[in-house]
Amino acid sequence: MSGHNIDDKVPVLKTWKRLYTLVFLNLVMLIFLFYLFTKVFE
Amino acid sequence: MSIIDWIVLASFLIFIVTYGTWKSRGSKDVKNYLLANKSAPWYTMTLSIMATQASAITFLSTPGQAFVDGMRFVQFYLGLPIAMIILSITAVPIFHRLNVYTAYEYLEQRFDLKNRILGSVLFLTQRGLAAGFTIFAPALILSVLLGWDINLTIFVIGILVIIYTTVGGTVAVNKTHMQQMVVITFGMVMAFVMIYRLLPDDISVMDAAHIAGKMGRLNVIDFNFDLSTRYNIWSGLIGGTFLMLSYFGTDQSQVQRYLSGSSVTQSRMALLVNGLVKIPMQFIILFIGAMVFVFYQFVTPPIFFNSVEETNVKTSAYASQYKALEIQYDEIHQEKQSQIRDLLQAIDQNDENEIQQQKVKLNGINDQAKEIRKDGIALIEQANPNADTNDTNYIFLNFVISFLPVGLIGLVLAAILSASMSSTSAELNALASTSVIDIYKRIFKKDGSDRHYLLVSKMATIFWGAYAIGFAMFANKLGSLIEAVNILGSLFYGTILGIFLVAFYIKWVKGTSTFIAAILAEIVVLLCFFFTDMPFLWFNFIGCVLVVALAIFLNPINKSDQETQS
Repeated sequence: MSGHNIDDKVPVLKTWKRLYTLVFLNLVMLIFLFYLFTKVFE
Repeated sequence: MSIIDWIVLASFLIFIVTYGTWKSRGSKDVKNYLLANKSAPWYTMTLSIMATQASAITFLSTPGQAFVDGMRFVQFYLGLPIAMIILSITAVPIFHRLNVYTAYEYLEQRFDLKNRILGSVLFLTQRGLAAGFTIFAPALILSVLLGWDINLTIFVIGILVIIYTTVGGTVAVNKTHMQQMVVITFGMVMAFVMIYRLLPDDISVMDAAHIAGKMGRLNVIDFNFDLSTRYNIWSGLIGGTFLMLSYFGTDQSQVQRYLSGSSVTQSRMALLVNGLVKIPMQFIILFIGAMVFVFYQFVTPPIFFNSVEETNVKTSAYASQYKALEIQYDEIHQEKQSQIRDLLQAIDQNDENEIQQQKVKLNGINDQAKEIRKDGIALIEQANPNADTNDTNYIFLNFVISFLPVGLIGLVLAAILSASMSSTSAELNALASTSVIDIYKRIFKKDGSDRHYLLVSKMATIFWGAYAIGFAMFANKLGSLIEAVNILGSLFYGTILGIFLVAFYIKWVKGTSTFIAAILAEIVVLLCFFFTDMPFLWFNFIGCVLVVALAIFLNPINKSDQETQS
């Protein structure tokens, strides 16, 4: 088994750190939106 | 079920099997068969990862969960994005660099053969039985509500999955997952549209959301730290991260999905996009359940959603008592409807005092309805002492077959069967890979040709498929086994995660210490299971922490590991 590609170039946002931050911020945003959703309709 | 629904359902099943086998007809070597030649793009893997996790029970049970308990179950998934980030940073580059077929192969490269075998055996034991349950659970619900023969349902689902998974391997699993996710998404969207259309004309989506919210069904986030509450933000973020790390990082049925990526980038993207979309998807499924709840505020629901148990009690000596309860239940629902309209009026007028008063009245009526339901369930139990008194899994499908139009019932059933088939195919594929790569090729026949291992892989897929069907049929005769399978997962998951955590993060700890720690941890978990009343979810945590702690403790005093180190 050889010749496989372990390239780790980032397709968007230029660095992996930024992409991880995006996923994390998306989680924070979802929690905030869920909180608002719960408060508005409770 | 109408002939049109049968045509929709049968067409879909035939399409999936034909598409899966045709699209993967070039699978002629082991690498292609088990890893899709490491050529899958990230979007294929994302859909495959999501389809693997979403079993049929997800679509049958989750809306019912929102109906009964509200939407707080979504917090169970809050740890998933964090786990996706951690695995993208650690596991993905390691697995790609070492070019492994299975997660357990890495354990030999990091530690030694015995750790690899231990990880493989724990996985095969747990996932082999779980594969049977993946087929059995939806078959039971479909057979109860539609009157299908359960063994025939199990057999049909199992055989169809075996055909395309055996012929096409990972390529077939990935390709069919894409089609299955399309059908699942379309089926759920159509179900949501229909629920909205079935609501009274004067009830808007906002009105429906207000009704659900005021009746405690839109309780998505709970910030209170309370160990006795199963779902809050803290259990989701802490416990959920551990659970998702274990599932996505050490369970071959998931690892195999992202190992088929052409590069670290593609595998990472697959996991990270899953981290972005999984929670909104679960939110939508739960919201559908909350809307079914609102629908049943305007249409009197059955007292109990499992129609077989209802029929039993209605033909027993308790029939007249049950009928009287049904009349009371209907009267309460009529009263509830006018109360709900008063509540909506108060919301429109933004009259907070009136809203609170209406809420109190509505909760009072709901408590009366709950009491009647409790009495109804007691009668069901008296009529049949072995009756399953939890009907959560039957709520959504009962709604589908009672109220959705012809054609759409077939589509939603196709979506549910898709979910069952997608999870089962990934499980069979992973079980075959682990059996062949980690056990057969490593221990019994090291020098076979590629053609030989390809044939053995296909035979292993058939074996595990037959095993899953056999277990599913056996489970039908011994209902208590179902709970045993859920407990079985928790008995092993913690130990496996502990081994991988040591492997990834504690580089100075060696193989023998980790192996002894894993054995000791597993013994402790088993002792807790047999001799304590501890809730089984805690076994994951105990197993994991014990492996890490004992491995760190044993490493300095273990002679063979010290020799390896020097």
